[in-house]
Amino acid sequence: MNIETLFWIFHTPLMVVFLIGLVDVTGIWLRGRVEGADGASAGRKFIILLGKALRAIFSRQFPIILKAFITEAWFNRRLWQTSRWRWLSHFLLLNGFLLLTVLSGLAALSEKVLYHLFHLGHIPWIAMWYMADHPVTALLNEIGATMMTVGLLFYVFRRYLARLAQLRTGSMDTWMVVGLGLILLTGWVTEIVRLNAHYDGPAPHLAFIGYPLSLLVAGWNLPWKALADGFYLGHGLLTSIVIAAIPYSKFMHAVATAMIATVDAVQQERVVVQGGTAHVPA
Amino acid sequence: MSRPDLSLFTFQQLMSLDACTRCGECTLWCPTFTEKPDLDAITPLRKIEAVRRFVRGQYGLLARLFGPRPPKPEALQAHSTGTYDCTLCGRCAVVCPARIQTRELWIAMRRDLVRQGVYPAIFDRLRETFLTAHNISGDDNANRLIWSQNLPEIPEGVGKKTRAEVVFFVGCVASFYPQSYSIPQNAVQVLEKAGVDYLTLGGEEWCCGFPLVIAGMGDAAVETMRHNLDAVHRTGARRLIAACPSCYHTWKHDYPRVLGEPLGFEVLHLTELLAELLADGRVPLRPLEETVTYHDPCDLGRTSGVYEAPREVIRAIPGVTLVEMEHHHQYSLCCGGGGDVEMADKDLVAAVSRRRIGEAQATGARVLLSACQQCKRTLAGAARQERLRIRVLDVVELVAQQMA
Repeated sequence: MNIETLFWIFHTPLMVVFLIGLVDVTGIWLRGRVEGADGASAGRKFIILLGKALRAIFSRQFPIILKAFITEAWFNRRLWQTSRWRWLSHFLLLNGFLLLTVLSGLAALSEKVLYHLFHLGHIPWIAMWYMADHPVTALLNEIGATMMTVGLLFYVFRRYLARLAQLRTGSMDTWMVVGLGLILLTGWVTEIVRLNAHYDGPAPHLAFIGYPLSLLVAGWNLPWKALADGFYLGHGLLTSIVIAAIPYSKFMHAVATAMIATVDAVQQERVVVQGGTAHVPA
Repeated sequence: MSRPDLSLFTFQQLMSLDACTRCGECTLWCPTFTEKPDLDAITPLRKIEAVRRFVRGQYGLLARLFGPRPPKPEALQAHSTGTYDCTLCGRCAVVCPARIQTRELWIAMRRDLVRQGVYPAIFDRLRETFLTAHNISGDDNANRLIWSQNLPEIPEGVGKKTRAEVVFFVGCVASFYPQSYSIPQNAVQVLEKAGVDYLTLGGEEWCCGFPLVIAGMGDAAVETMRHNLDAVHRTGARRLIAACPSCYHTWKHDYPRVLGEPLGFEVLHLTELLAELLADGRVPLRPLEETVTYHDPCDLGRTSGVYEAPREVIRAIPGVTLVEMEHHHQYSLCCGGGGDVEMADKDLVAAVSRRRIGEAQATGARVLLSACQQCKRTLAGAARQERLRIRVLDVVELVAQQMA
């Protein structure tokens, strides 16, 4: 059986588990009160909230919402004010993850849609996204993975080595470290093994860590092709398992914190615009 | 033991349970945890973690498939102790990287604990006193103006008028605790000097409801809120002023929300009115060569966003030098007197207030000003305990003292 088919056989049910988890957690949130929806069902509350969000986005408030999202959810201004090291760790993890996610999305779009459906594979700036060995794609992937790895090492240092008094490291944190750590480790190994199994296009010399390491072990007499398939599957499955667990893990804060921080910042901005001072409950 | 009632929380509050990353920033800023480091349940992150666990255990997918897992009684009790040992100062919200509005979340947790019957028993007495005496001390509510007896002459606005432009809502602490009598006494003298058309409600003033709202028993305060609103409407006032930040916050933010209607008049803290009167030159002041520091009351600053009005009043006194403490404005340290903690743990209040008075002393100021009778009571108590040579005054007391 083709390795990619095997991957999808495992990946698809795990994504269903992820969606069920997402519905479960959102369902709990929707048991809370929503202004203007007293006694309404969860579905009704969801529609009301979605309507409010869309109306806010497509209104004159959009610049305020965008600013709040950028400064509070993405840049994490409060963390910047608190500790530059913590901010850097968080920034590297978040943005490394975002970069890799965008690259995966572009690869899927360019290969599955633009190449297979619309036969646009001959256009270089479309083909480059699904050719992992294209210098630019290789470089960007390498940057994303390096950012995440450095960010995770900072995190491990703070939580498990420095053991700062303010932290209450628990199973949720450990699960996150183990999950992310395994994904990153298998990701690096998969890349090194894949590079020794075959090149897909031009030489990925801009992959500044993976490529030199792959050259270092190239002389080893190993079944590179079989290993590449195995690690590809293993890395893919680990990623799928971690994604499936997101709603029940600390990873969920990526969604919840972004929304809470943005909404609160918008509410505070409104208080200020109305002549008040921030930090007043809206 | 019942399940948490999630309708007591908002959608945003339930989502914020998942937004907390347990980064622990809040623990560094929590005034009660600083004094009680053995009680981890006080920390904001542990309170959030506990409720998240209780909620997931009883409403999550696994609970639906295999039946709910109620929390162990000792876990619920620990959570209750942590939640009721919080002064609701809101400092954690100011530093939270996830921007979780913690103070409102703690009140929602208290409401749920009251519903589940897991709260300090003394709060039943508070509710009983509130409902029968209409104040928090249990005194005869007809004696609300007892503080005016020491005035050289009782002004017309104090109990002799039925209609006025401004209602001065005195509040329970200033009405019934002798240490605080000087605040309304000085306030009315300043109002007289400025020629403000005001009145006090006397026995018609009932407790604003704040102590019950923050105890998680806000439902019991709705009738009282309605009574107070009707009493103010009967006076035809366009403004209500409160010297107590808790009364001010409750009137300004809770009344319209709970009663579901706009008040129909403006709500001001006394310092906001003083700043206005001083800016208009209606209260001439004598100079005073003194260095003072100012303590931001939590319910006036962090919770209501009023930081500058009291400082404007202080700076308006010629010769006065205002120096800030190590923590001020939104980072101000709590005096310890909030959150009804005094009812459950007096030692904790004393420990928190000692730390704050220490910050005041470190500035070298000889006068510590505040704009809250509860802060004044708590900080003056700490100054006495620590035998510090620092006078604790309300801003209005200093203004009255310096009136030309």
